[in-house]
Amino acid sequence: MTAPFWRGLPAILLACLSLSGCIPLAARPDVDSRTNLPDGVPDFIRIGEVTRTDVMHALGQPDACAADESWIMYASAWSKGGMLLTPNGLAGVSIDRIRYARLIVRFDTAGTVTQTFNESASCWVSWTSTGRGQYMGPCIDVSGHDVPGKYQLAPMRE
Amino acid sequence: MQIDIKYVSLQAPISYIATLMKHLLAICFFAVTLFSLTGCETPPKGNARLLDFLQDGKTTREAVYLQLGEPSGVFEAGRILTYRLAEDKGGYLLLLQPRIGWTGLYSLVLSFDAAGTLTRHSLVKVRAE
Repeated sequence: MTAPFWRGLPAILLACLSLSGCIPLAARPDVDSRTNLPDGVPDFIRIGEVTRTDVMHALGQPDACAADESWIMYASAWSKGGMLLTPNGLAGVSIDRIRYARLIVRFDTAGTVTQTFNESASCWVSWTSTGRGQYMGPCIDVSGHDVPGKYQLAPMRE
Repeated sequence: MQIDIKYVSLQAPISYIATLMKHLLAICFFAVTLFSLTGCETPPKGNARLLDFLQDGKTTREAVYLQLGEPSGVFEAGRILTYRLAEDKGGYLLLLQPRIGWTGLYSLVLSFDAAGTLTRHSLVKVRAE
């Protein structure tokens, strides 16, 4: 009596992955992401006290901004590690677990902080050899294009 | 017999072309290797004194534009200007504004008063090296 073929499937898959080239990817910041965004809202951002100037002098140029400058956004992306699959030694597909975070700071007409929004999420992202990324599930848009709709804020500066 | 002669006469050019192609490939390989190695020897382009002219209470917005050119960001109708900078062994390098993301290490933030005089400047390290 022979054993069903699927019993050996994990071993076959493991062998295929080893032979095709399966390279673990280390945890690292995303290639073009800022790394100076702390977890949560920074302590120095106190509502009614801190100005847009203060925030920018502490965190630098924002990654997105309202057309009327009533909000600015800082975002970061940090890979927690993943796998690069290279079949036959050629360029293949990589899968990364990436933690996205963004801080949105809202101001009044005098430029004083009135509100902050902080959010983060970890998502699987697959990358092809052409450099195109694809979220595998819902995630955070670090370009900030969804901010006006999500938080009922002024349109974004393009 | 005639066929044999043609066969022999064609073999020589084919083997000659094959040898030539091998030599060309070898030359290309060495050229690519040489270019890769010379790329590592690019001299630093940075300027350690690029930001020395900035003095709070003295430097004007016009002087900043003249020294650093167009900023990467303009806020509060020009009261805040930002520049993106990288750094090499020679010092700081100004970067052109990419559409999304950070390729440089620093964000230079400059605040001016109503008269256009620099009141505060910060060189914020945005990316760890």
